[in-house]
Parts: sequence; C-alpha cells; structure tokens
Amino acid sequence: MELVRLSGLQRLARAAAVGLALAFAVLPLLWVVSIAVRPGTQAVYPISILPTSLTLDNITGVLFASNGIGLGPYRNAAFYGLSSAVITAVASTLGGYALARYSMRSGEALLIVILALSFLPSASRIVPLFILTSATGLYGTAQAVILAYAAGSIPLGIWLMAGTFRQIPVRLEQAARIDGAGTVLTMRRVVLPLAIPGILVVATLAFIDGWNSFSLPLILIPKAAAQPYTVALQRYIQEIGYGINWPLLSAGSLVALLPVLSVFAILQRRLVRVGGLGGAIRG
Amino acid sequence: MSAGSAEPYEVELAMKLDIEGLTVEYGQVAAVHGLNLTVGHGELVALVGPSGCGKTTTLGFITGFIRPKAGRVLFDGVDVTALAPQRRGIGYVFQDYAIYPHMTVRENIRFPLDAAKKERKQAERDVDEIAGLMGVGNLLARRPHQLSGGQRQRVALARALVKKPVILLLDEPLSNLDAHLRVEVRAEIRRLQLDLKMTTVFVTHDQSEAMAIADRVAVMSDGNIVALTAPATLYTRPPSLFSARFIGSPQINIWATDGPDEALARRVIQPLVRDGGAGLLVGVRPEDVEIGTGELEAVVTLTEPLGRDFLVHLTVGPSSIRVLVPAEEGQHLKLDDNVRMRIEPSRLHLFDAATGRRVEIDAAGARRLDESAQGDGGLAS
Repeated sequence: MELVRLSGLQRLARAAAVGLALAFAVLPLLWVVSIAVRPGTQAVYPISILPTSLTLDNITGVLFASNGIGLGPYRNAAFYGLSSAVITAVASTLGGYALARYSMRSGEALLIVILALSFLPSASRIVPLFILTSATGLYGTAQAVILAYAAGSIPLGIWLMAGTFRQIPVRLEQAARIDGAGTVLTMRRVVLPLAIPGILVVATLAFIDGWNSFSLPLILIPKAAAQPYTVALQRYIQEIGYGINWPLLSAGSLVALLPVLSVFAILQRRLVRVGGLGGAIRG
Repeated sequence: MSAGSAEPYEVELAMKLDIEGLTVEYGQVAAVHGLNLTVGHGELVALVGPSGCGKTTTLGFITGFIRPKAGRVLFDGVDVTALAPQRRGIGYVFQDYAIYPHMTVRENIRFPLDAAKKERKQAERDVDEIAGLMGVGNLLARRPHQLSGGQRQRVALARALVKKPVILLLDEPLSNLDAHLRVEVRAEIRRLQLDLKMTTVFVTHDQSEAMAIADRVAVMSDGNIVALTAPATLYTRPPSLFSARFIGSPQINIWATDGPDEALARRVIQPLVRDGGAGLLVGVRPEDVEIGTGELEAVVTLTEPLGRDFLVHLTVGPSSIRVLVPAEEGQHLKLDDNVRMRIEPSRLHLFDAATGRRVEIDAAGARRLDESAQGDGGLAS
C-alpha cells in the first residue's frame, strides 16, 4: 500500500535510488557467481560481467578434486554456526525476557552497554580469546569456537529479544495466570509462541555470523580437519599458488552462499512478520 | 464439578468475597487506604469511580497480582491473600480482553481447562457448551483477529466462565464496545450473572453502567469506598457529596451556604433549618426543580435539547442552576427570559461543608449527621 502518492518524476527518482542501492549490494555477488562458472582462462581477461562460456569445473574442483577442500569444512562451519545459533537463541530468550519483564534499577543502562559491546570489532576479541581458551584447555576444540561465536552473537540477541518480549502485552501473561497456568505453562503456551519470530531472527543472525566467521577460527583452530570453509578456502588458494586463483575462490564462496540464501528464502516471511499479535488487544 | 450432568453450569462454586483493610501504597498503581468490601454469594457489586481512584488496584488485589501493604482477601471465609493468582480459581475479563492471539477461539476457551489438566473430551464438551451459551459456537475455528469487538468480548467471557470460577471479575468489560452494543451486552452480562448466580465484581468509570447492572454500587474516591448501597438509594439519598456529584447526569446542583451562592442556598433551605444553615452544602438534582411557579426569579442563559428533556441553564443573582425541563416546556424558553422557579424542600440534599457527609434535618429543624455515610473530605475533594 502506498502511503504517499508520488509524481512520475519522483517515482523515477525513487527507482533510480533503489536501483543504485541494489547494484551496490548485488553486483559484486553476481560477479562472484559469474567468475565461478566461467573457465579459468577467462577469469581476469577479458573484463566482462557475463561469461562467454559456462563450466562447473571450478566448483567440482574446489569440492571434489584430490587437492580440493571437500565438503568437510562446510560441515564444520555448519556445525559451529548451528550450535552457536542454538546457544544464542536460548541465552538471548532468557536474558531478553528478564530485561523486558523484571524492573531492574539498571536495566535500561545494562541494555545499552550490552548493545555497545556487540559493536566491538571481533578482531579485538581474538587475543583475549586465545589466552582464555589456552588457559582453560579449550584451545583447538569445537567448544572454543562455538562459545566464542555465541558470546559474540548473544549481546545483540538479548537486545532483540528484549524488544520482542516488550511487544507482548503483560496482560496476556496475567490472563494465563488467572486461567490457572503456572510459570512453565504460561511460557510454553503463551509467551514463547508469540516470541518465535524474534527467536528465529536471533538464531538466524547468530548462524550467519558463525558461518561467515574467519578470523576467530583461524586463530582458535589449528587442526585442518576441524577448520570451517572460510579458513580452509584461504589455505587452499594459498597452496595452489600463482597469485590468487579467482575462479576457484569464487566457486568456494558461491558454495558458501547457498546455505545463507536458502535460510533467508525459507524464513523471510517469518523474519519480516514480527509479532502475529493482531487481536490480542482491541483493534 | 459435575462432569456430564444435565445442568453443568449450576455454579454452586460461587463464593463470598471479603476484602479487609486493603492498603496499597503509591507506586505503579493507584493507592488504596484501608478498604473494606464484602460481596455476597451471587451478588454483583459495581466498583465505580474516576480514574486513579483505586478500583483497578482493588481488582489486582483480588487476583493476587498486587501485593498490599496491609489487608486480607477471603473467599468464603478462607484467607487467600498469600495464594498465587493461578491457584485462586478466579474468572477475569480484561478491558482489552487479552485473548491469546495465536490460538483459535476454541483453544482460547479451552486454555483454563488445559491448565487444570482436564480430560480432553470433557474439556471439549465444556467448551462447546459455554461457547453456545455465549453465542460464539460458530466461531470456534476462527482466530482472534477475525473477530469483531463484540465477539472478542464474548470469547473473553466464555474463557472466564468455562472453568466455573469461584468469583468473576470484570474490568471495564464494555468500554471498548460501540455505544449501542454496550447497552445490549450489559444486559446480557447481567442476565448471565443472575442465571449462573456468579459472585461478581464489575469495575467501571461509567456511573450509569454501574447503576444499571449492580445489586450494590460501591463509589470509590481517592483510594477508598465513599458510598456502598443499592443503586436507587445512591441516587435518591446520596450518602456523601462526592457520590451525589458522581452519580446522576446531568450533575446535581450544589450551593454552599457560605460564599458566592450564599443568598440562594440560604433561601432554599430556609423552610428546613432554624440555625440559618451555616457550613452546609445544598444540593438539588436538575429534575427536582419546578419551573413556571414559585417565588424565585431566574434568567435563562442557555437551553440544550437532550431529546425527551431540555437542559436549561438559569441564573439567580450570582448563582447558576441547571434544570431538566420536559421538551414541550423547554422549547418555549428563550435566552434572557425571566422565569419563576420553585424547589420542594423535601427534594434537597444537605451535606456538611467540612466533611462532605450527608446531613439530615429532623422535625425540630436540628441537624443530624447521617451515620451510615462515610465522609469524603467535603469541598476539598
């Protein structure tokens, strides 16, 4: 529904602005796809967006050639990302609920601090995390990366969940109490079902964060077999030598894009529709 | 609980409600100061008062969501003050209904039975029955956002009643309905409450709603009950200045025997009192003033047609007065007309100016405070 009627010229200007933003975001992506599916000889020269001939050699090369990285690094990344997503979802739900519902003297300030922390560059955490994991004996283990990922995702997650819970009227919880439900039933049947869109957003963001992470696993996981595709791909390109092999790098990146795109494709409707609260309150 | 009996909604479970000495201090809710209230088996008491008077706080105390500084709540004589809300067996209809938006109507109404771990088949039968009673039997598969305001109201009521609550609390249940629906649903709620013999507390800010639905009306002001009596008595013999002003529309005329209205006030009470009437407030309802005869001379300053009646604004000297006049008389009155008027002394309501309590005058012309009434601060309030 259009809220404001636009003149023809305004419409044109809007289309141009949207097009520019889209080009900025999408063109590099398309270029990656384009380079990934063209023969290696055409990778850099001649310069063209559209490939003149198509091939899957790059992709099969990265995944299945004897010197390729195989599917293992993708599996690793998925495992780390999903684990972090689960931990983040649980912790953020609990923390967000507490912040939203219990009046704490410093609740508002705490929320701001939490959000500020989530904006710290992850590079600044690498050295402390290295020391911490070494001291606790977690260095090189899956737990180390998963916990590090989750620790990075939980601040924003708590912030988002606090907002989600604040949108759920306290009246509904009171109604459930009066209807005879204890804490567990009130949570399970009334509060959590209404918070699911928020939980999905938080889990998705955490997964993507983990999936795309490079510097943390580079430092925390020395063992090749346990490394995610980001680290494995970098090592692979290095080992091939002769500068950067763009077609193979693009092919490896393209494979990494697919899970992220499919998560968004599946969840996009739920991600956008926050709430489902229509009808709770007069309206 | 009568599983499968022919008359399952015989609510023999309805309990008597006692609130003793409820005191809640200022905070996120309106304060209440030592409130006492008893609601008998199957009785409907309306709590009425302006916003901030403490009526919702009182409901919150009955449900257990509000912890008082002092006071007890008893169901059938049993102290439940320390009992958690979910264990009190109360039915509650929220002002905004608070229907679970992600559940169907059926799931909404069944929720209290699920919480009580009632066997599913029996629960479904109960849902069908109460939904039929509330006229929402054909809406059970719908979701809340597909319902109209009136339908949501009925669903909320069905959810409150399905578990056969020991006490029913209604928090402004009509205020979100259209005006024409409000009168209709009000009558339905009253009929249902009488049929089920539900002990009910009905909170509203609308005095006419309270008068129409209740066995007794409790007028609240500043955290306490200032009048508690049958609707008719409340109107004809208001026990305090506050309730006289709060109940009745258009509002009662009030003149003080000291101050700008002194001349008029002393003149109308002259036949009643011997001592000249110092320190009194004189009240007369707009419909109790006679126009066309009498010794008082008044000037018309405004006429408002209200349908069956006209509300006529008059001045007598410096004092103004509102009079309700039948339409056939009212339409002949014009601005600046001089009219005669008369007030029957027996129609006057007298209040103590200092305390606001009703004052009766005995045959000898002496004052007597109405002992049944509680004061509410007189002019100060």
